[in-house]
Amino acid sequence: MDCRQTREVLSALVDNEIDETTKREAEEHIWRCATCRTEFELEKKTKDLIRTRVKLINIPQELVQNILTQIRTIQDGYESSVKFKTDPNQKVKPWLEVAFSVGVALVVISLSLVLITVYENKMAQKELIAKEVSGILSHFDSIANGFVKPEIISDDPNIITSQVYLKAEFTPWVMQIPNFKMVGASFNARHSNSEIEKCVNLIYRSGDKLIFLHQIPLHRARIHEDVKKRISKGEWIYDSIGDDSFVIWGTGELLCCAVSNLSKEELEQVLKQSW
Amino acid sequence: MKLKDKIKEFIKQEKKDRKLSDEELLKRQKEFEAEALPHMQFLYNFAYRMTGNEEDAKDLIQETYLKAFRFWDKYEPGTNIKAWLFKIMKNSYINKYRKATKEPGKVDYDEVQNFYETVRDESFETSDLQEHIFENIFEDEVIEALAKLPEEFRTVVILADIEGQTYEEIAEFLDIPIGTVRSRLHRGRKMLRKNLFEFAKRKGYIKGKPEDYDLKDPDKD
Repeated sequence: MDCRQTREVLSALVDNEIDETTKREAEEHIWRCATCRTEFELEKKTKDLIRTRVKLINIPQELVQNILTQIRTIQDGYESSVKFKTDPNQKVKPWLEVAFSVGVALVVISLSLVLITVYENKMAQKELIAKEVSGILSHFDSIANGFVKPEIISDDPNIITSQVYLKAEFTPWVMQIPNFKMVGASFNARHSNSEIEKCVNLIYRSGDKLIFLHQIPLHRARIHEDVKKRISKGEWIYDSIGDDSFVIWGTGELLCCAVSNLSKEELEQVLKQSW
Repeated sequence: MKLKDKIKEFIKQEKKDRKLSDEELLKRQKEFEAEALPHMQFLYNFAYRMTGNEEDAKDLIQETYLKAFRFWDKYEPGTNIKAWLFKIMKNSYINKYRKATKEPGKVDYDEVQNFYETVRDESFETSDLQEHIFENIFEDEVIEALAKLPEEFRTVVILADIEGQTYEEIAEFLDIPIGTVRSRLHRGRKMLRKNLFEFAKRKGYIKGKPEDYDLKDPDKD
């Protein structure tokens, strides 16, 4: 066997996909030819590298379920009542209902905030902050009312996390909140005043309690200088609007804002545990 | 909602085509689930590595399985179901991601490359430099290097080295002779190694004089 013939069967030799005679001939050549020997070693190492570094991944749980549902739907010849492409939605519904009532309250609040901005030139700091938050509230609200569907809804926080990392245009901070489970995430550019970089909203739930964690890179966020100053000093600005509470703080790179239907004190307590 | 309409259409077609009894339908569904579902892991991994992300991979798998179920009658029991499913997926992939297909009459790039590859005896870098790349390479880098391979090479490398399929299986999946599997694999691994070497060089894992790394681009020959 010459070099050319050896190269032709090199991969087969590495994978042991070769008949005995050819194998012997190829090995004889490799024994004599240093170049082909190196080439053989390198190919073997490359194969091992790919095999050991790139792991097989498991099928996402909801994929099998979706496919089975769809097949059964084709089979049953039935139609309207089943929702396609979405995850098992029944589990999500209760919180949507809770969120709905929260949302209604928030609509009223954000409307009144708009009025305040129109009629009052100088706003107190408290109102200023509330105004900053109102955009987020209305986004939360539209999700809660079903006008906007969170791009990601899943029962598995890991799926949400990986999706968020995949879709976000910056590195968001996926906070773990004790006793709360992450149930979804959304991305929205409209209220961030920046069309370029989207913000990330993580939705956490525990029973009928919801926390909506909004994040955006600090340098992109257009917030009032006074507020910026306060959070860059490390302050967590807690406040409440009606029955809902919120907090704004910064992490250095990110501006975070959590909105919740917990009371201000409860929210503070919960976040302190998770910080 | 598009999918829903599609399904409705399927059902209509189904009923028009053949009049199946409920028991027959149920049997068919059970059969499909038992035969086709076990191969999902294999297909999903391939789809994931080809598309590079979970969303597209999921879409591709869904489409594949719905099509497969739709055409379940076309499948001959006892033949290679894995290959059958794979080909359905390959077609879906091509339709979706490669709208602009190769113009007809184009020379088989693969074979020409391989010819030169084997005739030419020079390596793209000295072997002791190549050795170093294996030490510091992470999964992400292998995946990125893999993504850069032309599709026909990427396909065989994924099937052989990630999914551990035999040459015979790969030949059947792709409808190519075993000899072609062999040569594409050899070539694909070599190109991947070259990509990895570029990473290593860029990240400074490999030290030395710059001229040592003046790689010849094997693609341009």
